[in-house]
Amino acid sequence: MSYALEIEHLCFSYPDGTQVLRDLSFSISEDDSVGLIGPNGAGKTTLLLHLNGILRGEGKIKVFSREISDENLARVRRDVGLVFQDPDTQLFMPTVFDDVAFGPLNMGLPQDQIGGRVRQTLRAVDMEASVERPSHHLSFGEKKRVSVATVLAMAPRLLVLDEPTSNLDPGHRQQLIDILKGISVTKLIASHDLEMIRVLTRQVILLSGGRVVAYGPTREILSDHHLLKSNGFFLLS
Amino acid sequence: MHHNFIDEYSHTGSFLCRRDPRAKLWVLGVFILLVLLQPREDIRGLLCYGILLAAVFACARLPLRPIVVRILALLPFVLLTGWSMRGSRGGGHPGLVLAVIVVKAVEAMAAVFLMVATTPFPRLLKALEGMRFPLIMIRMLSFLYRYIYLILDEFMRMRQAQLSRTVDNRSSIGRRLRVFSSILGHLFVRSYEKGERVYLAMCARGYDGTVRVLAHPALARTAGWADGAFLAIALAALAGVEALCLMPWK
Repeated sequence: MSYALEIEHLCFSYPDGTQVLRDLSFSISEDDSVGLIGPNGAGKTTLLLHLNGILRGEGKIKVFSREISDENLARVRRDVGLVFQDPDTQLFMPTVFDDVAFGPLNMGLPQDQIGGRVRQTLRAVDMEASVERPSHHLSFGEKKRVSVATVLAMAPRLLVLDEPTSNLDPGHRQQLIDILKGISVTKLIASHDLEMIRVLTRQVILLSGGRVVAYGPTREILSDHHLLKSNGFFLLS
Repeated sequence: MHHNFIDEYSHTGSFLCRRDPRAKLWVLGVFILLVLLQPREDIRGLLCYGILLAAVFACARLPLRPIVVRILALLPFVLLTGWSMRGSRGGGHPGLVLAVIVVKAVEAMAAVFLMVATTPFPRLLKALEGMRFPLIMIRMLSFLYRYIYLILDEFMRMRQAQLSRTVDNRSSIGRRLRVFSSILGHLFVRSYEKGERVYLAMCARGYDGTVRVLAHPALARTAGWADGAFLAIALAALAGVEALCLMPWK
């Protein structure tokens, strides 16, 4: 079996001494979709920042069988598309077009293909009509969809999303879920939105206190109410 | 909260809004250069340029108030500079020298305002890219444009939170200043942290320190006849004013 991601004994502490990840080991198969759940402060975002080499802890991380190192950082960042939680962090260029073109330009895509790639990606997230709009004039839901487009434009093999549905109203949330459902690459989605995790992922990793507490089929983990409750998830039903 | 003070007038559809920003930048550059090169004790040329500027301003259908407010805000700095230069070598009547410096600065500021107000900011940045401006400067301006509204929103939210917890409106000026400076301090720290996160987001999308931009077709290939006519007429008008100033006046 080939793996999209292999992590062995990953540990990480922030400079102030707070240890966030403690001896983390797991792997994700190619073409799988995996949810990453856990209470606030469990280390989800910190873990995601390791997957494309932005943070470098102790231990080993392999992306598509390639260990992350200074030499192959560009390649790793092309393979792993990371969508940040806050769209105002993700969208930093003056217009939607410039933002979606940023990644492909850095990848070295030929200049005459950039325009086509940008429009094609924006069509996939239903934002083609906003190509020339300034990013700060978009609604929150639109910003979230453009954020996904900025990463899809780089044609990543592993799509990593940090809280994609946070702060979205039910309509925009459903729209984003439908878009993500239609994207057929390996996915790792960190979220508190268990309903979205149920719809979009086949496996779930439960992270707590910087450790993997459980890793298994989504249906199994999400129906284990005792496990969820003891890790900070209070379910209504 | 929805601000739009930078691009407020750039979609009015006036003839100046429709011109290629590169043509406008060329005219702006020549205009400012000619204004700054006017003699230090001769106000006649500056008067002509002022009339020209007023005519373009009227055609651009822009309101007067915002430009006056902006110029008044910058005037103290101009006056200070002018005052410090009144006695520099070359002599001349100090009042006249000061007046010339102030008029030069006001005309240059008004011209820059005309340029910025009639061009959507992203197009202005693209034009600067096309004219081979240093990319790092353009990127800084682009971040400013993208994040100034967010920072203002943040400021307003903190101010609202502070007002919601202010029961006694009669607090002393000293105390109000302390609260205000604390908000500003927080704003600075949050902006700094935001900057760090944005940098990480840039790295995640392959940024390695090199700013890459799409190549622009040359002005000569994309500009229509209207842009060409605008460029020719504007430069001819400036040359005309300059010729008028060189002639001996009686």
